[in-house]
Amino acid sequence: MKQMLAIFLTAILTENYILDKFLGICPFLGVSKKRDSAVGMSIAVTVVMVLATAVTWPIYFGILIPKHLAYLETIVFILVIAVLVQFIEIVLKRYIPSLYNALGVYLPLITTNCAVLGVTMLVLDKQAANPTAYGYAQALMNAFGAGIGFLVAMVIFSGVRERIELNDVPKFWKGLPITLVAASLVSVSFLGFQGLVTGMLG
Amino acid sequence: MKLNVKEILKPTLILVVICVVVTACLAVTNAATKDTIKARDAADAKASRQIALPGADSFEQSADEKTCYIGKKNGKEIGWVFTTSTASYGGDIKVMTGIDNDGKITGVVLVSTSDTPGLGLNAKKESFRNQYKQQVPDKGFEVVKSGNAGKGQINALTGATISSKAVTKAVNEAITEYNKVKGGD
Amino acid sequence: MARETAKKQNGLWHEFSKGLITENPVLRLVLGCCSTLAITTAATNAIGMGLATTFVLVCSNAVISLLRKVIPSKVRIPCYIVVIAGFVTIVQLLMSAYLPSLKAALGVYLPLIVVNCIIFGRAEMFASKNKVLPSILDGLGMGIGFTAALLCMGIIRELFGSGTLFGLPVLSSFMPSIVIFLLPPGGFFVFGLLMAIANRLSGEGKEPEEIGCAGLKGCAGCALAANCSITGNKNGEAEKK
Repeated sequence: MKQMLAIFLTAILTENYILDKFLGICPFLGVSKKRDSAVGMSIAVTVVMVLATAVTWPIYFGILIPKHLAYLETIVFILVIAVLVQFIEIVLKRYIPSLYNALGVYLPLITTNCAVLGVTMLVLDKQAANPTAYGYAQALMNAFGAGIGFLVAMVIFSGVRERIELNDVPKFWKGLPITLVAASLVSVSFLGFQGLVTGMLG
Repeated sequence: MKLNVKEILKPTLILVVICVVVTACLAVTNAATKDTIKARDAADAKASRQIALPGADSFEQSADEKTCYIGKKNGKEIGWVFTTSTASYGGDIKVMTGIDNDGKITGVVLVSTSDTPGLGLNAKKESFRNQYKQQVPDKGFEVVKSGNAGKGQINALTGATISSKAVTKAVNEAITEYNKVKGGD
Repeated sequence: MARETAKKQNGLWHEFSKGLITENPVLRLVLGCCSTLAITTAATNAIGMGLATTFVLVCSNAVISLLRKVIPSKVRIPCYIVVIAGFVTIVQLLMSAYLPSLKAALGVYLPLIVVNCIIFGRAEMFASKNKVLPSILDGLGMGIGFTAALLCMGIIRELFGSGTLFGLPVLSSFMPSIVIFLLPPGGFFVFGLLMAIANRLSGEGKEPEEIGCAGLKGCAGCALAANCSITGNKNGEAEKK
């Protein structure tokens, strides 16, 4: 479906959660040094994003809104995410220990990852702007796209950082400052995608 | 076994108590601010409608279309105000469009927007919004970047094409509503 | 007696002042980056976000410190979350009622204060282990440091990006605005610039240690340091890798 593809591509290219919305910056700056950890973290984030949206959406529309409890959105969503992450950790540890060893260390950090809480709330905004055309399925696709966008940004950036390692950086720019300048350049390149999705898919 | 149950029970109980206390505090705050929020929203909406349709002295919500308000002057219907929302750069924007009986747009107001200051937020400026004050175009408005907008065309804001298009889309949706209402009248 | 009081006062002042410069949460501990980059397109928004975060930080620090002997270690993370989220919701409601334009300007980043690593980090590293007054001062210092850093970024980005300052035209008549400062790349760039300046001012010439946990310069700001499986160290000490 054209709309689903548009939502998916938009979340990766024109509304990239890291490079455009500034969500998930802490892991972006911290975990992107090596390709492997970047990929591992991103996959974990994608899974949590989709599951979190899958759970919070029905809670919001099924319980919070009908009972006039919309003001509890923040507290309920973050608790859901925290519980979900805990649950995933337990499941992985018990049933897929190899995966747990690869990804498990990042899971607790995902609870405080703004991108995850962000996506659960931003899909609600999209629904409000487009009640007829945007529903549960679109929200899930959006969350999946957001996670993949996260992955794309992380992988590109880990490549950039590996290159920086070999360069001669001025004293006070060493470490995070030069990393941030590199991030700004990657962000500029993504600006070039503006209009791509609407142009391609109408 | 007894110790095990106690180990799980006590922390869970404390967590539940904290949850209940916090939720209670929030319920109190919500109850205290609910009316202020409602009153403020209503006052803001009324003021926005006034800007959208300046000639009217009273507004009445349309019976069949919740987002449409009929503007009256001295009891006589002089036009409509339509509220539409579309997705923009920073989130969705809510726009009120006022159209009078002659099919002329009397005003466009940005009721809510989360766009970037200095860029998309410039759509709030009168110089941008005044562009819409013309006769309703048959096919709706079109956004142009050349800077030479003709009739039925809108000059996009510098560096904020998405926001310009979002506002225009909202106005076009209002025009669609207008055509429906006008036809029935 | 006088000497003891003086020492105590020194201690309290230290708790407050460290958050301003030496342990500035944004520029030194590298926490709260998301809001820093997103909200600083206008100086007034920067102040608004900074003050909202400070409010939540001070309140949650105070409450968590009060309850530190009551909250069991097993469920402490969910407890912190509930308390912090509670205060964030209160700020949301109060803003909806009294400052709706600021609420619209902050957008989704207002509820995201709940996952702002500063608040979580200080709860875990400080408020859970210290008395109420030092915790409040710690929160206040960190919050003001956060607001100051945000304000610096906001002023630079607004001045060069829109030519205005707090909404008032300043440079717009002299030079055209450099719009990229308002766009995401500008945010990253100004942040990097400020950090380089902070490094210069604190005389830190050597490469900052990065554990890779969350971009943190050490375990000081990490919410999970006590049970960190990366360093394998249970008392939150940094281990060089």
